[in-house]
Amino acid sequence: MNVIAGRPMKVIAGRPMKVMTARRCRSVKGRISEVVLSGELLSPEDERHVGQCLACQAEVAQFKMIERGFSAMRVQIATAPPDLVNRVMAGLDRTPIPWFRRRVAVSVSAVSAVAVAATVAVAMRRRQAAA
Amino acid sequence: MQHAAVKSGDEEHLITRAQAGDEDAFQELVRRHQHGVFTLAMRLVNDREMAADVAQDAFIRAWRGLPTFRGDAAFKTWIHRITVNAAWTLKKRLGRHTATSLDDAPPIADVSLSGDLERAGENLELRERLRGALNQLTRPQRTVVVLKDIYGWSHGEIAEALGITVTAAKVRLHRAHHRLRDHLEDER
Repeated sequence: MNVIAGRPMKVIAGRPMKVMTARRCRSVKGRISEVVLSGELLSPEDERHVGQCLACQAEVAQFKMIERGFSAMRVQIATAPPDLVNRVMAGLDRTPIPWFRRRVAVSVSAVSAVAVAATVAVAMRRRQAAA
Repeated sequence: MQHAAVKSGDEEHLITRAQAGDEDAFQELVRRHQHGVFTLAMRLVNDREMAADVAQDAFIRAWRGLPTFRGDAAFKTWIHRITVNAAWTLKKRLGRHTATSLDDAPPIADVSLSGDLERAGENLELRERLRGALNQLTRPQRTVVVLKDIYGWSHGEIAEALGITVTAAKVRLHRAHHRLRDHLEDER
């Protein structure tokens, strides 16, 4: 007789049902946080399991409570220090590079690189020709 | 609705002016977003003074980066991303300085506090407990929880901002959730 904690158990496909339930329970419990907090879905079998399993229901309740806490936190606004705006303005680099100048800078460096490469290539050919 | 559209158009105008080097326009942007940026910084670094430094650094980086801001995302989203980077850099620079706790947290205004006082009281208690539990997490864990569960960032956005893979972000979040649950359970 299969006995865990002194109780007889059914055997399905050679495995005690309680063991299978415990495995499902572990697997479902591990995903409940994502289901409650990130909106992931459980399979119909897993949902049925949660409907019958008090431990999983307790887990759902815990994470729902955490989600309520997050909702309460979402509406909180901390007040910035009164001198923040002045501090930011005092710390500004007064010469920001405008986008067109950045593009020009990039173009100039690209053209320079090509020119250097071409010069080197021409010089090497001349040297080869002279040899 | 119309008000929101006007406000957003107004902000676009401010951004365009700031991109052209108009400091007054930039100052107005800073004024509008300072509390949001400071709140995010506070949640990430967990220390009021450090959060002010992060917010300052974020706005200065934004000023430098404005020429490259193309408006693909909202300004708020963009400045929040910069804030996360600034917080990350500052924390790295300071090593594992995890400043005390949220006991020295900022004065918090609860904009949801409305008629249902009992419910509001419950929420306040729950929020404080959750804040305490968040405080027990490691910095990387707290960062993913704050960004995902409070700010609603996707796993992909978190991964990109923190320079980790999406899978790593998911795993970190999963572990953080379970640690949060354990801390809250231990409190009982």
